[in-house]
Amino acid sequence: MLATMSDNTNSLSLALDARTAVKALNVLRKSGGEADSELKTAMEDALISLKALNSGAPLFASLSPSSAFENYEQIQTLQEVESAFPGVDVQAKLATVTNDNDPAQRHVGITFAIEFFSALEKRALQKFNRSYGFGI
Amino acid sequence: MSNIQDQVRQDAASLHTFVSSISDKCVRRNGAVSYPEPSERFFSYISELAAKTKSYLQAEIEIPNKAPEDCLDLRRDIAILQASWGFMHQFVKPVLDADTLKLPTAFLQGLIARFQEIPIFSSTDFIFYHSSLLNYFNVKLGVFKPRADQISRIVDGPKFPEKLGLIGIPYSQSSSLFINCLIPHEMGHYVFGELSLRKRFCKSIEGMLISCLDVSFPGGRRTELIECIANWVEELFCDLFAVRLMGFSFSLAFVELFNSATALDDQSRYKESKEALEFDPNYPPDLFRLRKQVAVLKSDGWWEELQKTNSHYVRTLEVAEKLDDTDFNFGVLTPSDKSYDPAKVVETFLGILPNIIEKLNEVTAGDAEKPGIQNGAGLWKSSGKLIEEYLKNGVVPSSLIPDSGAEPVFPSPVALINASYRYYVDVESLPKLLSSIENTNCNSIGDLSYWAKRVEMWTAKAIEDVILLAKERH
Repeated sequence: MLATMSDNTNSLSLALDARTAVKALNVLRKSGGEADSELKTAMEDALISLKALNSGAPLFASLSPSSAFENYEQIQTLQEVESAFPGVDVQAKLATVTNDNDPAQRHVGITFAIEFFSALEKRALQKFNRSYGFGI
Repeated sequence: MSNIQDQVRQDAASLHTFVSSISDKCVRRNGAVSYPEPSERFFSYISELAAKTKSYLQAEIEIPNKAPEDCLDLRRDIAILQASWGFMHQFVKPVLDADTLKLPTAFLQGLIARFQEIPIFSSTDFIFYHSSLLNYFNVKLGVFKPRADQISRIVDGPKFPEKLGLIGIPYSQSSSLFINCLIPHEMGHYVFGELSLRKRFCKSIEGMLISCLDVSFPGGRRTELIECIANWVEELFCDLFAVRLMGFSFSLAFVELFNSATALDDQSRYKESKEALEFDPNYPPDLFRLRKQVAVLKSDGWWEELQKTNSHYVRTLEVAEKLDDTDFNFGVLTPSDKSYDPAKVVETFLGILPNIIEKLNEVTAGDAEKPGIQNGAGLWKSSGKLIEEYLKNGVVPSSLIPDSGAEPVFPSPVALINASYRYYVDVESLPKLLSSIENTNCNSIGDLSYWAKRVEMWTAKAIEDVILLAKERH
């Protein structure tokens, strides 16, 4: 009771953040330049969250103030999307977007990141669209 | 088979229709009704965002020779814009429903003025909307505004207005006074979000949980528990914020809405119940919340006087106060997955409690220019008895004359609401009032209800008068 109306805000937030990341990654893939600071932060937050999920490392102490992964629902969605890439070292691949000096490796990383964030966007949007109950 | 450009054009037209169906409600609204200024700002925002969404779609569709890949990207933009407009959709009609005749306008003005005593929120305002649920809601602006702005960024639209909260009240309570004393709790959620307190508390909770629980505890599961404790922290902060703002009226409304007096036996003592002591993942137990509210009522100077009230509402508060923090449990009725000790979770939460009080004091304190939240208990104590005397005689307590020939005193809205609510919950007050009115029966719940409503109306009128008088004086 006296609840906050936030249940579906979390999924919509995540979908919008993932959409923003995909758009920035698309630009990066075409231009081949450096990731802007917003994209760098988004990639770092995703990496921190994945690390916390897989190793038990602290999460909240390291996230940026604007992180898309700050509640269980969002973390759970991230976990679900990660599990849809079995046998892939998601963290290592995402890290190449901002870290790798080899352009070919980086290009592969960007392509993977687009696929990963697109999946995250779709999953979050799906959850948002289902959050209104069981009407249809 | 149609090409991708044709398909996406149709998708865009479909979204155009949907957006128009929402914004038209704001543009072509009933001219006979008026809305509070913050609601008008909301309607303007929606109308402008709709116009920008539509022109963005048109411009994208008009780009010649769009590559199939870009068409697919636009289709995803359309999908996310539709979802975003679906999110806006849920607020437009409820805000339209809440015109000035369907809101306790004077009470809300008094409440907002009290909220604005907090220096950092001195220019914050609130939009109120009707909810079909018997519940009070706060839209988390700290989450909502950046997302609304993100939606807007896609279409180069307007930013959601600054310093504007969004609070939902049950449609049936639009003319009530007492039960709406729960609204300050929602203002607390606004404060919690605006100051990013959840993120800050999550950091401390995580640190404490790691030291309490096994380090190998999985990160995902731990996040769920952090969120659970953060929910308790937020709800409790909002309760205490509401008490600081509103006094015991909030606690009485809480007892009333949640029927918390069911915790009492026939001698008004605590009736043991495991359910009453159990934390759930979203909320601390009601008795725990009341217990902490009493602590603030004590520290703010309300409690001693309130205890003299002959009311089972107040007895419920006393029962809650006499319990101990360690009486409360988590995971007893709904056993956990045994990967952690639920007692440690409650222990972590209890460890955070001093930080909640500290944060409350920090938020409601003044600065060099403004004194912060004024002590409501002092205002109530100085005029409460006289306000009740006026109500007993069916007189609107707008201006109080302490002694014959004395200058009139204008009570504050916070004194009016607390005195009036105390009068209403005292089990002897209303029957006494009815005994002095012809053709009424103090055993008739219809009569009691009718005259209780009159008491609310007299109080609301008094609040309206004192606000007008204050404006005139300024």
